[in-house]
Amino acid sequence: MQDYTSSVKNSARNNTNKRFANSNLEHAKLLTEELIKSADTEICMLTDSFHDKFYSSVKPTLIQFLEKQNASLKVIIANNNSNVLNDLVSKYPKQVLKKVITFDKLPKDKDSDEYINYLINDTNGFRYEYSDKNLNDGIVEAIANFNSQEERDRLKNHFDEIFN
Amino acid sequence: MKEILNQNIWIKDYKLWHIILSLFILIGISYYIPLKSNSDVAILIGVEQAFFVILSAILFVFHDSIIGFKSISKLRNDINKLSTQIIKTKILQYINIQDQSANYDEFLTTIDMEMLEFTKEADKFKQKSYKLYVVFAILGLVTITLSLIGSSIVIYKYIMDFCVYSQISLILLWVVSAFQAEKQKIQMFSFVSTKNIKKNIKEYIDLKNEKEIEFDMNGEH
Repeated sequence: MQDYTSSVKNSARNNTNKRFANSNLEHAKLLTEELIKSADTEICMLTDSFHDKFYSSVKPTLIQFLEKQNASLKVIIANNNSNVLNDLVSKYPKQVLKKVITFDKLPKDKDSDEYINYLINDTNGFRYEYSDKNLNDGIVEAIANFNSQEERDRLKNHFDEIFN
Repeated sequence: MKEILNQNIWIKDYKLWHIILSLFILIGISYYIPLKSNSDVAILIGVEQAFFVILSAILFVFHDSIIGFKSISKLRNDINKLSTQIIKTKILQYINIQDQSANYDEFLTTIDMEMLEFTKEADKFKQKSYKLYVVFAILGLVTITLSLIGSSIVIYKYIMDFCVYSQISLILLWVVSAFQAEKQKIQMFSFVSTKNIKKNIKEYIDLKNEKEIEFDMNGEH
């Protein structure tokens, strides 16, 4: 789907307020990478588990981001078994900060009643995943936007509440 | 489309306990309701088996044609047409969301993935139908062999009855599954039909655009 890819890249480049539906892993990777690329200095993530299979493909983009001056990656995670994340923490100990929480502290989406995962950057971008029960079939349920201050701030406030 | 794919088809979506329960019921029926015959058992069984072989062959071919290659390629063609620029523009104009081109694509991606699942399930359906055909034939061979050996031995009579009752159950299972698969196929075609696809695309896009970020944290929204 060339149109989807170009539309996402265009929206990331121009920082437009446009919501993207995300229902498959390939596009989840695209949105995640574009949100990381469009971040200035901070990325925050809340995740039940930092899936190695998924994030190993995003890792080069994360490293590129962490090579920036003053860049920081903050992660709240419930399942602390990710090799990719642990590798990033050991390589960039001052920039990659993680907080491990128990599963009962993870929020659940109101509609799907499943654990949520989100990524926010500091240019009002976010990706909010509210269902991954069909992850093994490559299907997720998520929404994303590269410039929605209200929604991004809501997630950021929630993130700070847990992280700080 | 997920709801359509999640529908059970007896021939492939069974659990172990279904088989165990069926076996117990069939053993019970064979024991308590023995098949009776005043005529020569071997001839009767032979005629019955000949009828069953013809019937099972028809059902097997029928199953293969329900969700065969033709149906799947027709579905794929219908979906491929939706991704052409002309159709896409027309549909987006019709439902008045011309700026939602990316989300239209995402909807088609989900349909593509579900088609993959449907193809896998269709293969499974055909494999199970073939297995059932083999089991049916084995039961038939056992019945004929035992009828030739002699029906005066009581245990042989029970086994024969069990085999015949099992074959009747399998035919029933075969017929019901055929209807279930046919229903699923019709619903799949209906989902991507010109009449319904606009509604389904609009529903998907509206759902994503209206989705609110609301979560439960320790019981609080």
